[in-house]
Amino acid sequence: MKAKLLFIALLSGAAALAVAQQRAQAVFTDGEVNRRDSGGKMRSLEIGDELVAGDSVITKAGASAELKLLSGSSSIKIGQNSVFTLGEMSVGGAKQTVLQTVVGSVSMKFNKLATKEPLLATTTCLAGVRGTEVELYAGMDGSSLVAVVSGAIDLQSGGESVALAADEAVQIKPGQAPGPKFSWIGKELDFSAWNQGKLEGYLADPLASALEIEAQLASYRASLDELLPQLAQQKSAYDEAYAQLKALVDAKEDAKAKDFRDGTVFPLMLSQATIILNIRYYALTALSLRRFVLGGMYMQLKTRHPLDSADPALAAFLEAYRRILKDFEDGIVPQLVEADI
Amino acid sequence: MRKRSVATRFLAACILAIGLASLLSLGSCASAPYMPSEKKVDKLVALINSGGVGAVKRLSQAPFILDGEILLRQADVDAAWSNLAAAGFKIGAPAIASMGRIGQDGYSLFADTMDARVFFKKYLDKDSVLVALDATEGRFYLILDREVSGYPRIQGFKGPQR
Repeated sequence: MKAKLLFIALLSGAAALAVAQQRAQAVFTDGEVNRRDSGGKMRSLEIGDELVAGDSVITKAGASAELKLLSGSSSIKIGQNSVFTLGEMSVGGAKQTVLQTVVGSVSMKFNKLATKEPLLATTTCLAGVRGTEVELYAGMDGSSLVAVVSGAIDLQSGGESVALAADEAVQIKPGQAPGPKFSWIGKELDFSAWNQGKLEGYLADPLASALEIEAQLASYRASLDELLPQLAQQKSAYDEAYAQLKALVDAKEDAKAKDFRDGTVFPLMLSQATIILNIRYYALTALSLRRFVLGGMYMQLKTRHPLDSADPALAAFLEAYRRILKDFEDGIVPQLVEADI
Repeated sequence: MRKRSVATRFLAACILAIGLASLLSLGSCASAPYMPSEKKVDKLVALINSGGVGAVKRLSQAPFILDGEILLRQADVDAAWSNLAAAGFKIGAPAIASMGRIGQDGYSLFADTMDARVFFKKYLDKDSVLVALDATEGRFYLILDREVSGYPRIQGFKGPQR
């Protein structure tokens, strides 16, 4: 019994390390703002509520919300009809918070962060920040617009990166490298007008937009295909080490068990946790893209042509849509759980 | 004295019996699963066909399932009804083909995906009713729930299937 307790105590330290996470607090809400937790439960977001990794904020028409990260004094302003998710992934073995604008518009300002600065993301790009104030738009077709107000960011998409300084902006299409940088000074940043342009572009050529989403989802699937064998390998090594640790504890070789735990079991456990974190990040980002972008595209086209499945634009879109859904079911769904839906 | 005691006990027993009966009756009312009348379904379809977008939006709250797509943003649910009305969408000569509780594999009528399966499991309950409507355009499915302002709420819509 004592050996069992010691064994549990030995492992609990690593488990606690693995679940440490960044949190945010709601400091302002206006209109109808909901919070969706990682278990999929939806409820009204109230001032003072704390959000943890996996939680999303969903604003309705005319509503807005402001969050602050609990480490540092960063503020996150979420515009109307937006979905914002507090996520996390591992970069270089270290856990980093990912502030993801899934759809809609979000402004973020980062000051005096006590911990490492978070990553910014949409469903199609990822950016590192340095003392930044930034505007992120995520359009109905999966496009992103990132505009830097102050500071700098390094943005990645489609396997390429671009550095943006103050007053610079860039647009990114799903599955593609960032577009050319431009100065947004003197140009009005208006999410509604920008998003309306995206909707019109999508309706003019729905198949082209669907193919971009297909390319983006394929890149997430490729990331998963790379990580899953690594996870299987790490799990096998961990199981073997776990059995050895248990044998040492059962033999009451406490000093050896502690050394083995610190030198072998903990690193394997953390390495596994890191891979799982990234598998979850890619799977959940793919789900967001499928739910809010591809799903929105389907809704827009189907309800504009409710009885006309022979319409060539609708028919071409539907063919690609069904193919994307099948790939999603085959490649992404196995990494999701019911609570994600 | 003894007579009064018997009378008091009898009165107390009567009050208790009436109270229990009322509670049981209230309890059964509260727990009885919802089932709309055919008249209510016809009234709802007439509202959809009239293009009464504002009223239909109020009856349709996110999360909502459109064919196989879960709409989690109210803006998307509202846009769906606005687009349908703008397209002049109507369910022609509707006739109720079936109406009842949703079975375990009811999701497959909407889509054979994890999304649809989990939506049916997570967001629908004992009050959710699946209505199949045969119309001139084909078959439509509506998922309805307890009424608001005299109309069933709408949780899902699929069709037409030819």
